[in-house]
Amino acid sequence: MENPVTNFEIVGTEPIILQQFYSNVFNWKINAYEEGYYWFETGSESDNGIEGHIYPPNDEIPLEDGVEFANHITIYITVTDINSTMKQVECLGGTILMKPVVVSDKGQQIGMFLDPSGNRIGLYQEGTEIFNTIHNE
Amino acid sequence: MANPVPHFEIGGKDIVRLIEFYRKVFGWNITPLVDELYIADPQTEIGIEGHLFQIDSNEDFDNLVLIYVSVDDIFNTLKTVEKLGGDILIQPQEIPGNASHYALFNDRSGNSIGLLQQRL
Repeated sequence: MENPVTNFEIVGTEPIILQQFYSNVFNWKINAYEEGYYWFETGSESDNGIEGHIYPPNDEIPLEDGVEFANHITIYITVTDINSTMKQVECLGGTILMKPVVVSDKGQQIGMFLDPSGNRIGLYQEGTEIFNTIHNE
Repeated sequence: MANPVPHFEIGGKDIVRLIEFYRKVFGWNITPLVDELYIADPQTEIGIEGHLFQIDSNEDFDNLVLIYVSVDDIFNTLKTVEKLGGDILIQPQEIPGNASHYALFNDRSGNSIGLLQQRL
């Protein structure tokens, strides 16, 4: 089956305290992109675990009008065509919270939606060779 | 002790609609496990399996996304959680039929996290 759940995020207004909390409780080796923005692996060769992120709510996230970004935990589903998935989400009664945005120079994209019950779920699409070529020209 | 995150849960009061949504949008194979609990098995080399679950209509919340961390000693982990300012929501409970235990706590930002321990 396509579209696996591959990542999760923990968003809180005190990310440094959160990062300390999780590294102490679970011994996760947490790496910082910059202060307040963290990522970590929870799995290993012998354990099936997904990658996590900790960061604060912030104004740089391009949410749709009226959407508030508060403390939350959610999962990210890896899809092959994020725009097409977003259309499906809307057709089936979901609500778009954040349209797909490119988050790295490799062309990875993320998006976010509410399912019909109001659960916040993230979408992730890998970057492509084509994007790399276009981007770097 | 790796403490991986191998499991997720997505809940809603209208479970039929929720199942239809995840089946149609993501093509997930969703099958009944026990009453009010459905298993979404990714059947891929990457990614983790999860549950969709029914939230009782009497509950005062309408939705819930949870991740579960697999630990070696669930009681010991909960002690550390309390010591570091987290709040225990559900003490370790046996999962019927598979000799595993689960528990639930809130972290310092009020986010809820599940714990799993196999073969307590």
